[in-house]
Amino acid sequence: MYRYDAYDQALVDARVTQFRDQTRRYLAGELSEDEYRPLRLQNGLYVQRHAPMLRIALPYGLLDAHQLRTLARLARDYDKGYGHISTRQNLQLNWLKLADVPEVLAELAKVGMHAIQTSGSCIRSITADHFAGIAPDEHVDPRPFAEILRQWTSLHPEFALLPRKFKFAVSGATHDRAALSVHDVGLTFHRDDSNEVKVRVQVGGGLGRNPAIAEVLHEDLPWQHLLTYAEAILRVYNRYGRRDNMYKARIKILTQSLGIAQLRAQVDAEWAPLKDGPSTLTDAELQRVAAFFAPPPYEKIDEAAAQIELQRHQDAHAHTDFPRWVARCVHPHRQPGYRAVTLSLKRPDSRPGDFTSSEMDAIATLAERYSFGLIRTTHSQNLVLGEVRVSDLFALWQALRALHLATPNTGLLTDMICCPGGDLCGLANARSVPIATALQERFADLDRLFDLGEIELNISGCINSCSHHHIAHIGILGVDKDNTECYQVSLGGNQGTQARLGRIIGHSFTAAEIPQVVEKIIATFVARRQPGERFIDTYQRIGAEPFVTQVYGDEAGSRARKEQKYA
Amino acid sequence: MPDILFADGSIAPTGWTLVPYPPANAPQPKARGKAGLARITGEAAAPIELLDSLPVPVGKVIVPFALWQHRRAELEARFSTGEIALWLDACEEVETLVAAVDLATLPLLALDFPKAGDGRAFSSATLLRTRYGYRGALWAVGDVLCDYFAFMFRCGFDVVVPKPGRYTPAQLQDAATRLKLFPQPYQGAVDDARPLWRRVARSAGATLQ
Repeated sequence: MYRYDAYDQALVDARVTQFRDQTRRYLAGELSEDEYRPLRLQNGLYVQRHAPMLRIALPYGLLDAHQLRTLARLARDYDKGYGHISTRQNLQLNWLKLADVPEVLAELAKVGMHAIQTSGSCIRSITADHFAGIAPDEHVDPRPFAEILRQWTSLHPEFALLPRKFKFAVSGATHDRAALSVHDVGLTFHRDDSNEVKVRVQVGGGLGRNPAIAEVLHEDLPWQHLLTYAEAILRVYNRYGRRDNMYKARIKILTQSLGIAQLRAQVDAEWAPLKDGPSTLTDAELQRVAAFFAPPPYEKIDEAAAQIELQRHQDAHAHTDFPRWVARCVHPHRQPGYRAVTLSLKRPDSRPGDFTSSEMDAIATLAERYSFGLIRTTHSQNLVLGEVRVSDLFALWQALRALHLATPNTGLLTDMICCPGGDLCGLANARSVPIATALQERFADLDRLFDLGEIELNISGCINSCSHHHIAHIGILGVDKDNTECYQVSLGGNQGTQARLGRIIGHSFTAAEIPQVVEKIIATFVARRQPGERFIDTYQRIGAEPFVTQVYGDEAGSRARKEQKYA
Repeated sequence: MPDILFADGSIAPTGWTLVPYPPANAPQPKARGKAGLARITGEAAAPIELLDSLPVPVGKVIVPFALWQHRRAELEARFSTGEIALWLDACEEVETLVAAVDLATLPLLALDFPKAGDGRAFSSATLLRTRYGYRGALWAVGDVLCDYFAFMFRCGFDVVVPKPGRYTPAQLQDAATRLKLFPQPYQGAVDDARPLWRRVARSAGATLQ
């Protein structure tokens, strides 16, 4: 992974000095609340319902064991002993004291970490395919480009005060595992016929109040122009993105207002004088950064023999959850004899995405033993050990099981994405965690869960849509209805290359009703599915109506249908 | 006007009077820009009545670009003696200014930050310096906060002018000492177009240059 040189280190150290001084001036009354807010936000610091929340950047979801142990210690010493993985692959601490934050940032800087631009109206920390560099379907490792972008975007003077937040996501694979099309800019690195790396640039995606699927701005940008082209996009956005209404300030609104062709014309016009300028990337710079992401020293392993051994383990432990864990949590790897392993943070007894300091320490040790000391975070709020030998899988499973980190539910109904919601977040209209807990309990039976197959169910506590409920097969959105927490249900959303926005099925429900509503939706699927169909396949084949009828009954259903609208 | 701060950290009195729009008549945000033509800024230019009625004091003054355009005949003589400078609203495009004025004849140009969170002038400054060859004095005026001074200087401003009374002389002095907190930023900008990797040799063992 990327290692700081003296320049990176000097920058994060200076950032700590700067923020310490800003916080001092704020506490001394020299900076007003309004002046301090954007400064603290651009250092990842929110003021939430109970305490400040610090969002620590885990750039493109990659960290090492030493960094994870540091996070464990900071969570223990300054917080309540746990952290939360966000849908942008970052780590959130929810119970800090404001006065401690500069010290926490100083501790992070010592291990090459920061919280720069994890919040605020600026270019946010960059997310990536969590199998970047190891996925068999990958054509280009996007991580060197993500790191180059991280550096270019960090403290960019011209784009420090954008109309609104601006999120990049990157992938270099056939399958989109990074929800590219719901980002302000989604970058897909690929190779053309002559093996040159090109970038497919999508723009204008986003969720929230006005969800939108991104459109293609450039199909095959040569990688050398990545930064100048990004600069052109950002400049057009900085100048012409709306600033009169924060709900219409994202680039998706500009994209829709101008139309993609007009936006492209403006970006191209802005880009022409920048193209081939000093920010044009060179082979040497790409190679310098790419060297940090060179494959680890893999052992030479016979894949066929490894598979036979794995099968033997599965057969020998058929009575345990090991085969199921292999089916759900073990993923293909491009290196023969290796696999990627998901550590599920969707457990019956804890909040989705949360894990404790002692778990962090234990995971750091497992990463060192089994995965070259590297840990990845996913946008679906899980962890991944990316470099595990097939022959270590059984031992790893045993260790993870002991830590309650081996729930074999990746991609299944209970692998829900869920924001902190009204329990912690100052923005939320409703609590999201109790819904997740209720569904975890109801769908705890693994036989049933496996029978239902892959279903994505996401729960957002408000329309800011941190949990991406719009692109879930089953989306649940907390709304405030006459000061009561209610939940709106949408169906048919999808992420990936075929991204679609879900459709609201009708009036909302109370928290107590939601499990039964989900049961009815699932029952409809089970009754109507054809062999081999996933939930989303069935939904796309039969449409919303059978689900609506089941949920609302015939009479209510017809009323609900009248009220239907796109989410 | 209060003291001003130069990119080198020195502080001096302005010597210029800025003519603002009266707060009540400042350009009001418009509900919706017209896509494609007006491009979307969400704001309208100042109304004609306001431009007609705004008094222009004697001496060295910085007047709104829209006012100067509207009352050019009246102000031309003073402009030619170098006592009329212009300021540009954040919603006004530098392209319009460039088309209307020979930049080389401006004694100084000020760009307004209408509120602290509005970063449009960063782009306007960048364009003036890198695309339109403006080499004269470029001032950041309006809601200009010390925590963004360094960004302003990187974008080609050579003077920042905080609002009167916003900072004490000591605080301004203090801000000047923080200007060099990030001596080697990652990306190129107006002050140095080269990204870090073109400025220095970067490697795992690199020491600071």
